[in-house]
Amino acid sequence: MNSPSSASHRTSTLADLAPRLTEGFGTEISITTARLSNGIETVVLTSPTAPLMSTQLVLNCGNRDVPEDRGGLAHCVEHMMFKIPGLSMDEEIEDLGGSCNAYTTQDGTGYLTDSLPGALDTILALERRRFGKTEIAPASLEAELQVILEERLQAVENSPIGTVFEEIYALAYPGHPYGRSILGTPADLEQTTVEDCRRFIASQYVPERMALIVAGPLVSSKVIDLAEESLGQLPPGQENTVRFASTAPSNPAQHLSLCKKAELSAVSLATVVGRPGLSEPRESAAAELLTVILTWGDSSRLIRSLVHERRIAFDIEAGLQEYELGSLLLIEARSPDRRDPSGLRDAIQKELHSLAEIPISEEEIEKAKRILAIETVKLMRTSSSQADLVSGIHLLHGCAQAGIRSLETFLDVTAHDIAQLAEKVTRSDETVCVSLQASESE
Amino acid sequence: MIFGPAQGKPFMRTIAIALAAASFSAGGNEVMIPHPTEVFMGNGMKALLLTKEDSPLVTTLVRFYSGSRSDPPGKEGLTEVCARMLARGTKTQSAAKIAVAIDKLGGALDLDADHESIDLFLELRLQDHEKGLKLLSTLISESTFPDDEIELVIDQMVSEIRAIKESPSATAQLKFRNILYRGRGYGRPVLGTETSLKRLSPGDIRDHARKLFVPQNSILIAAGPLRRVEPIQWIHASFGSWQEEGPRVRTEEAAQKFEGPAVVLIDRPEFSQVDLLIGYPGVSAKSPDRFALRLASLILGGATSSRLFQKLRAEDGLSYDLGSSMAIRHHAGEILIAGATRKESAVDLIRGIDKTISQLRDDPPSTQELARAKALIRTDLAGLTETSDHLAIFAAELAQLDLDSSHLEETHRMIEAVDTDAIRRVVRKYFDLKRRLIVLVGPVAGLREAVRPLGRIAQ
Repeated sequence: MNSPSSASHRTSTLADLAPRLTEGFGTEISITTARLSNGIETVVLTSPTAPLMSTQLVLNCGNRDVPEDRGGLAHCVEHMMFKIPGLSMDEEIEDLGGSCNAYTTQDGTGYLTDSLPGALDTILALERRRFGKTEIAPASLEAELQVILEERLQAVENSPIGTVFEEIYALAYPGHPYGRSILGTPADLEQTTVEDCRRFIASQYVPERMALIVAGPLVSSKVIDLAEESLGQLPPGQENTVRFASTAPSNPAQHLSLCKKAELSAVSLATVVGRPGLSEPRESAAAELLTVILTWGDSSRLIRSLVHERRIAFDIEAGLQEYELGSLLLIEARSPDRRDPSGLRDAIQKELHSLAEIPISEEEIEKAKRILAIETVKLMRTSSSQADLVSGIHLLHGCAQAGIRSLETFLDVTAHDIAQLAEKVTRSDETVCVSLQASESE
Repeated sequence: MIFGPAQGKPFMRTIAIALAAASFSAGGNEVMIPHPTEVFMGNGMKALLLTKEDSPLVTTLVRFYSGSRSDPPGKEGLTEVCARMLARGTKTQSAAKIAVAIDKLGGALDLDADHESIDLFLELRLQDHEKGLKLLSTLISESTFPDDEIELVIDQMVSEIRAIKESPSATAQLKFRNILYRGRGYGRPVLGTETSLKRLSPGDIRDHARKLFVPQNSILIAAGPLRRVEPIQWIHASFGSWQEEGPRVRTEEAAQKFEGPAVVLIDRPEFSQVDLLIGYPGVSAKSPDRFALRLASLILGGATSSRLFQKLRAEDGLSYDLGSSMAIRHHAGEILIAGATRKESAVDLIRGIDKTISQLRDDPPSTQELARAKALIRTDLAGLTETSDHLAIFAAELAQLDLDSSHLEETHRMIEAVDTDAIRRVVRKYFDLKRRLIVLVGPVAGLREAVRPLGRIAQ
């Protein structure tokens, strides 16, 4: 058995990597990274007093890596990895008091467990068995495709906001894989075959694409040894598949109006920010701060103005969906005015214009930075949220330590950076919009 | 409310609860609830301090022991309006200024009512904890409930009620509780209805708030790295002089009035799935059956290895989100099985759920199933100590139920003592087809005849 050289281990503390972010919070997390002999990057986050442990096996293959005529395949394979013949992950992990789940994003797929700390060796051995097999039973696939259709009905078609969400992605990323539904359409799912799944697993589920994140009250060297004995034994991939890597496009302004049976109308505005090779990661950090300035707390700009003063919105939220090839800055609002959401859309755009035209005060920036620091530190409180955060960082940056350092980039953002971003968001050729007019019937 | 000068020196008492009474072993790891410090103030308010040195933030939770169960019939939503109004203006600060003060601290103030209680929840950096306590005491004792803000809060709640109508699962749950507890507190929607909210006058709201927000009706929990500061002094400085006398809110008992079996059909043709909720009256927070029933619910549908999930989702592909859960309330409870499926498979899903329950009723779970369910609960209990907010919420629940942290060890012991006979007994007792209520929301036109054998069709 090969073993990862101890010289290749790197250990730091969260306080070393992000000293300004963690100052005054008393967090004691050490972070060790190593590469297993087959190339799997392993990150161990040690919190001595944590009562629980979490693992995430992250693969750098997601919805963007699926052939154009096989929509939803990455997500379908994620489901099928719980149905490997002869291996009941659910039962085996729940026997230990743990739980397991998985997710698929545009950039990657993650398999996660939460458990008591003593379960680590069993969990890693189970993951080794799961990822060492590629068997897909046709009957299992048939039943699981029905489950996914039900998932789609529930998340998209049964929800006015689910429909808006899917449309805004299609509009914001035209001709790009990020614009395609992760769940796939019913037509996509109908043509998904066992062979599609097998081929996808063989080409994408390879050690070169994997990272293991483990968080809890653990001794890092023992975790890395256990990982080497289990996942480190997975054979290298046979095919050298090139990932889809084109940067998300710059979008022509578009506006789509939907009319659907709903109780409240809705507006969703989106702009792609933080494209790699341009001003990223500073632009992404500015976008994060902008979301706080716009909609975090009752004194934020859009909530104060549109919810409390003008009373034309009942709920409004800005968020940044981070992706490797271009993130999405989203502003979503619901209006009690069922008939015509255009007034709300215009009001949001006017507020964004004012951000570009009137300088943001230092006090407003400081307040936003304080809020973002606390919210980021909150993500480091549980083993599960630590594993989530570092998995997300891995998918975006490829390297955990550099990614953790970038967590405090927002502290360097200036009012000028935010005004520049706001100007971009308000430019008519950069922002897309989906409006939902609520009607009495379908 | 009057926030007058302190009436004499506050009475302080610190009680050390034995450490051994608040710990248990889970999977070889010792799980401990921190040693709480109990502080009694002269005005009737109690505070509990929980030191968690590895927490980056301090959680402060002020709980009032009255929830929406105390809403008078016809005035549903009254308690929720009162809770939200605490951040909408004081004698010296407008709603906008309060919002700036909270946001400047970097914290998020959550004001939340449920059927049992009202919580004010704030998480801040240690250096801002004292400021946070002062802010909370001002909101609680000096709120003025201005008319224009009442109007805004009610408009907001009306929009939220409309948004709930867009969710078939939330619609099913509201209807389920409404019928199970017909006319009683737990059956009333916390947010109220559009009609009941319109009935509320500013006078109703101020009167109700005067009865709700009194020190004798409250507890303050602070959890975090408190060893480095002087929280007892800060709490006394902020809340020690808060005085309020007068009548308190009365909450009626929560007897279930339901007689089953019954089926409710809510036709919503715009939805593409039928959401279904199958439920039975369950147990209250102090029922001795709660341990065995919790395990039975896990075995039935509370985990991905459970019988419902494995048979009806993994094998038959009938539903994506399918499972069972328990709502354990202070004076009552419910057992719930929820799922969603296409209209054409709705009856198959109900039959499948019935068959799975019937099998659990007739055949006890295997030793492995029971051991697995116990292991899942051990992990859940360990998670209670993970963060300061988990600890604070757990401590508030215990305090409201007049329990102390030794309850954690008792829960662990009682769970371990449950055997397969106990599971069979509670399944037979509580999964009683005569007391079953089914709610279906979605395109249900045409399902009436198919579901008629399952119970009387109720409104």
